[in-house]
Amino acid sequence: MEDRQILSGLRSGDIGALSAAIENYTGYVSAVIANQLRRRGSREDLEELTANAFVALWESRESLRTERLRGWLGAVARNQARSFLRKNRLLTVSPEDVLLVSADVAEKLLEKEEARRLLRAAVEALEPPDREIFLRFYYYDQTVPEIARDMRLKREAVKSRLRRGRDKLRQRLEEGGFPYGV
Amino acid sequence: MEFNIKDLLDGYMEEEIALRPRRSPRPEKIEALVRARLEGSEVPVSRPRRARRLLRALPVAALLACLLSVTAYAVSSLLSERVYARSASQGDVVLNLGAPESAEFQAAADWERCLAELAQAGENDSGSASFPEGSREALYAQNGAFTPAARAALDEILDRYSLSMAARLSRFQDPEELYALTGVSAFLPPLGKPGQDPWTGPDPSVPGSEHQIFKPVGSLYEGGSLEYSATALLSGERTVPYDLSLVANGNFIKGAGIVTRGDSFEEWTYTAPGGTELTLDLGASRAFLSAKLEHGYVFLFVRCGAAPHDEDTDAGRVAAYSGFARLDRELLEELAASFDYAALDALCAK
Repeated sequence: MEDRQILSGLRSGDIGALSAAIENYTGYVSAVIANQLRRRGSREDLEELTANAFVALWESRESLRTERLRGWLGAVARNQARSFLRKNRLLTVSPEDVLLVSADVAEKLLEKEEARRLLRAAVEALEPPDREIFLRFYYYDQTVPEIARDMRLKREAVKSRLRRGRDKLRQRLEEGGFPYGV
Repeated sequence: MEFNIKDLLDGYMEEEIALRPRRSPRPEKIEALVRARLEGSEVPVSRPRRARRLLRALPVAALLACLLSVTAYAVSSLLSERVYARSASQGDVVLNLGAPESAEFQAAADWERCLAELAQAGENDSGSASFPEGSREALYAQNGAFTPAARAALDEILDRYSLSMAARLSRFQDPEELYALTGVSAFLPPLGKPGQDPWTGPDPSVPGSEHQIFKPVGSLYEGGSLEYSATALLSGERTVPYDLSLVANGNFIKGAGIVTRGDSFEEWTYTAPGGTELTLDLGASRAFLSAKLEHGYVFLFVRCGAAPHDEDTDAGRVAAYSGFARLDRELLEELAASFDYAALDALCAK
């Protein structure tokens, strides 16, 4: 069943559409969660969080506005996994995850939502290979060796492209009045 | 002021990148869970197969599926006798239980090889298996045998080496829980400085975070066998993460394969203050410590070595921040001296 049919079915309360979503996206949703959990969750944690994403899909069916089922499920799955880690005090923060902004810029941002909007715009402006590396690293929580394997690149190439992506991101953000440094 | 890039990507909808499946559950299992949740009923999830921490060091099935062509080993001496498989990319794989010539070690090695074969043949799928607490099936599942074929294979190995499966009595995190369970007072080195050390408390490099990289976790088995992943606070306020495996003579518990990453090891013997003679092995990224006791065998896998940490790992990044640089002979001997081997032996004698 195509996404369009699944979404249409969900909106009309067809439980079969939910089964089709589970059939099509269990692999993807569980991969998103497993990448976040790494070794910090058990098999049953993975199963429960994967199931939770589909329960959320069903419970949101009437208000579901998106046409991007994969993206919606990925965002929900990632969020659930990170919430689980946060709740269990297992959420790690690496130095390269942190953007430091000066107080005056922070004042201008006012809302985290504004920082989010600016960051996403900057990510979208990255060249495709750099954007993919950036998202694999920061969104999907893949390690450098995993990215190298999946994109058939050398680790050093991934590291340098990641660095380059961050430089471009910084340049873009600085142009938008949002300098950062680590 | 600071923002976390990963937090800022919350809610981002990514549509294009192909992700390689990892540990993917079956859609039927997920559908059963979802339906149960929606109907307000319960469906058991897969049982935990063993302590999480040991899973970290146990890519055995995946490794052995393609690595069973054992030829020459990079490691030497007593450690080489612990090697039971070889990875083209990760070096020799050593097993963490018992003395190499012992029934406990040989049985654990045979079982790991057997598990790999069963996995390749698809004859040990845990599926949605769930067994009543305390049942015989649960005891097999604790050791990784989920199907009748796997149970029969494990029985054959246990018969061959005249060993008995040891049931897990309890899981614990804090060493104080372990001391209360065993009735033996402190016999492990202190964990670290709660609230200050990056391994055991909030990361000082990320103000306000609740970051805890290393969470101690362990299991105590009947017969006195013990597994514990913890940290040891050594001199100079340096913290070392380790996995301890203590197997009592005659016990069978599931082992864990540890890849050596192609390290070369310096091996020497060291006599602890209480008189216990240990074998110490120091490599670039790992170190090992082992000792035969009267009633059991203790093995320590130390998660760092003589070279700087691999900063591709969480532990490596935090270690870099903590100022911990590398192990040397002196520090490994200090670690070896910080355990009470008489108390560990007494656990196995009970």
